[in-house]
Amino acid sequence: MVSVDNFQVAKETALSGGKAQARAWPVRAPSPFPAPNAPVSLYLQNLFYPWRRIRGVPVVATADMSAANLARIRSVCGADVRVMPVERRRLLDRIARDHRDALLDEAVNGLWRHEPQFSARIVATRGQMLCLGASAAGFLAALALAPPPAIAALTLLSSTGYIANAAFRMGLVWMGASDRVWSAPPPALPDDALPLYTILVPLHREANIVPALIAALAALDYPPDRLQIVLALEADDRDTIAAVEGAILPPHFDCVFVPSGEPRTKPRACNYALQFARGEFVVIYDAEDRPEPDQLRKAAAAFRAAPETVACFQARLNFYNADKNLLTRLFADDYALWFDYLLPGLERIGIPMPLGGTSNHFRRAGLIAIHGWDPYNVTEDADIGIRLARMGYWVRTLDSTTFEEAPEKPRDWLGQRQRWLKGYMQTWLVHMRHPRRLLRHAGLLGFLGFQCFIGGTFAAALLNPLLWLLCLASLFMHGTVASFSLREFVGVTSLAGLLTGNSLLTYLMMLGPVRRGWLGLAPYGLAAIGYWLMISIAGYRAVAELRTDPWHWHKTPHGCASAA
Amino acid sequence: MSFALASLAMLALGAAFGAQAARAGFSPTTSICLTAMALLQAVVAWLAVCSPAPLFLALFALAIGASGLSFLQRGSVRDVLSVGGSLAGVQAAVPMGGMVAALLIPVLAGWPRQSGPLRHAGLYAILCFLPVLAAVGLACFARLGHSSLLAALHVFPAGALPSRHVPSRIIRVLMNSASLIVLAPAAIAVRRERAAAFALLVGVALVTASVAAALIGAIRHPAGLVAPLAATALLAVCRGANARAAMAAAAAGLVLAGAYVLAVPYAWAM
Repeated sequence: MVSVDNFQVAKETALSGGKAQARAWPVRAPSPFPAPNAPVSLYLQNLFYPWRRIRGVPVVATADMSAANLARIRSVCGADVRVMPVERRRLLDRIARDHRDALLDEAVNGLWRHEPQFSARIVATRGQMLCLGASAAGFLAALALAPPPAIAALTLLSSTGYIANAAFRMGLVWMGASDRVWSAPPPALPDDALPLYTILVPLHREANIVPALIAALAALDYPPDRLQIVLALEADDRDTIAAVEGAILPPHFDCVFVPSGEPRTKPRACNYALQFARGEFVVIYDAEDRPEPDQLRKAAAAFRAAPETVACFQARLNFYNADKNLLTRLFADDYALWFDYLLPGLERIGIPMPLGGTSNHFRRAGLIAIHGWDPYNVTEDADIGIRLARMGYWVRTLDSTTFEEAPEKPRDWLGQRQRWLKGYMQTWLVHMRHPRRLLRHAGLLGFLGFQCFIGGTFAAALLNPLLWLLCLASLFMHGTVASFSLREFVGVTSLAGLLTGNSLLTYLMMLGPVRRGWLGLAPYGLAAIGYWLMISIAGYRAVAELRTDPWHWHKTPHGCASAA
Repeated sequence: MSFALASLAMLALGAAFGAQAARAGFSPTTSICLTAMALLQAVVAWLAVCSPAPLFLALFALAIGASGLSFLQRGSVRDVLSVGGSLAGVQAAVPMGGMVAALLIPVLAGWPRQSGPLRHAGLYAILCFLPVLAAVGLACFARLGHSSLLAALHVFPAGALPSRHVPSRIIRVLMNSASLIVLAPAAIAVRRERAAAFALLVGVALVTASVAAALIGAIRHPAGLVAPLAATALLAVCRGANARAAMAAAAAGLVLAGAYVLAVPYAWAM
């Protein structure tokens, strides 16, 4: 494994043109004297650390020699302390090493300890299992006792649900297309009014895109002295660490080494890295992301103009390799629909908004107040949006785009979609543990919207093949329901659901790229029926995996596409 | 049933005309006068045809014109949905609606603002989707023996003619074409905004579809066209003329519409 100290020294040597000028951490072993009840977060936030006593005098190491920080150090550690300046990366590294277990415990178990009802560590409660089991048993009993009515009821429910899901999305698109969404961006802030911003970038097996990542982050139009970039590297991911080692990191980049362990998920790494964040605002970017250069400025201005209850802004996402093949084009249509219309639609109506996986801009205080991400949820982004809403915070959309890399191979796409659908199921199960509480927290509209948007997303994936199956099976059905022939009832009802639902959803896919002006992608939306069948495959695989391996994170490979 | 539907349609038309006039920024008096004159033309058409179908057609014409104009100016998804929905709806109202859609979609997609072959194909795809879907649905509906939804509701009975005499095809074509005269004053008055010409094109498309229907043997009372033409003329002057020109055009349109409706039975008897 790469030594962290060697890594830091190598970086500093590279930065200083071969001469390591930064003050090294003293070689003598420390004997820290933690201030009473001082949490490790206090040291990380204020860049100081009680080091040792020298001839009875406590010595505190700090990377911030400002008068305000010195005063803070003296108020915490005592007026008689001696302060010793030290290089920031070394200080953080030392704190991380000394408090490894506490930091890791907070990252993995913080939410579980404080708000266990919101943690996906338990997939489904006993009550939920009983409900699901009773529903399945009831249906099977009905099927055995009176098959025609049971099949007819299943068809009617599936068809109605499928059409309702499509109609709900059509309504969201109408609301999201309003001129009032993104109509008046707040005025930009002058440089001296810009807040300290932290960018968290979790990296795992992404050595090949480290240079592009550093270039993309360096291209951001934000004063470096007000920017903290935290690369969260898995401690056992040698290749990525080596790639970062080989790069020349600007001074405002920090590397955090996330100790290996389970669950090996992105939210776990984010929670760990969040403890090192000092910015008033925090944003998550994926390794392959290319945010628009002015995104941080826009987000900072939006936060300043918004009330304190707005805890998060979600930027729009799309792909820089959309034109690669049919799959990436359909995915780009899907993403455009999702981020350009559906999420703004949710915002306008006031329905809790599931976040996208990246470019979520948070107020750090709000994020910490809800105990960060759920490391056991594989769509931690969707979950945190709902949790924010339940705790009285608002999420809004930001009119700025981050370009990502779309999976180009069906296998990669399928794995990613499987994880998303599994995560949506986790999120639904977590928040439906106490439906009355959800209703009280989110209100009736929010409650219904949650069912339609989170529940509807995976339910539609599961219903689509069921309707096809019922439609085909109706050809071989006999018997009657009320005064109808079962064959006609099931055939017509399932076909009506498929035609109406699929027509609406196809049209929505075609409309997705309109706001962006990518009209060339619109005709590909006509192939959406095949795309949904793939989503359905992912949906059924997700159901199976939720039972066997709920926290498994399907890693989407990146760095395969060339820049557009 | 028919009267109740007609009353509903009249109310909707009055509200829609009023909204268009108010949106144009005219004074309340001008707005009321413009609305009243357009409504009067619709009433004349209704009485001439003895069916509320022209009122519905006027509503659809106004919807197509307004959403099409909005689409040309902004191109938002709401506009695409509105224009696609109204082009689908006009097919449900009258059999010639499919031709109206076929004539107007290339105009919308080919407006100079658009460029590039892929963008062009994309525009066609999103504009055609709902009208084509409606056409397919109506084709299935027609297999049940109805020419349109309104016909099925007995709102637009086939063969509502002013006399038992059926004129020659050329007379029918000429009379349908002559209805364009109702649009002439508006065409002269529109100066302010180029896109307002689209509203007039909606009227021209309706007349073209009527002429085509007459050519292939359909027998319809051409006076019914006065209502949708009045709607498109109102839309055009509200968007593209100043108050004085709009008033003059509306008044001239009302006179010409009256004259046209009075002339139809004479031409029909020829």
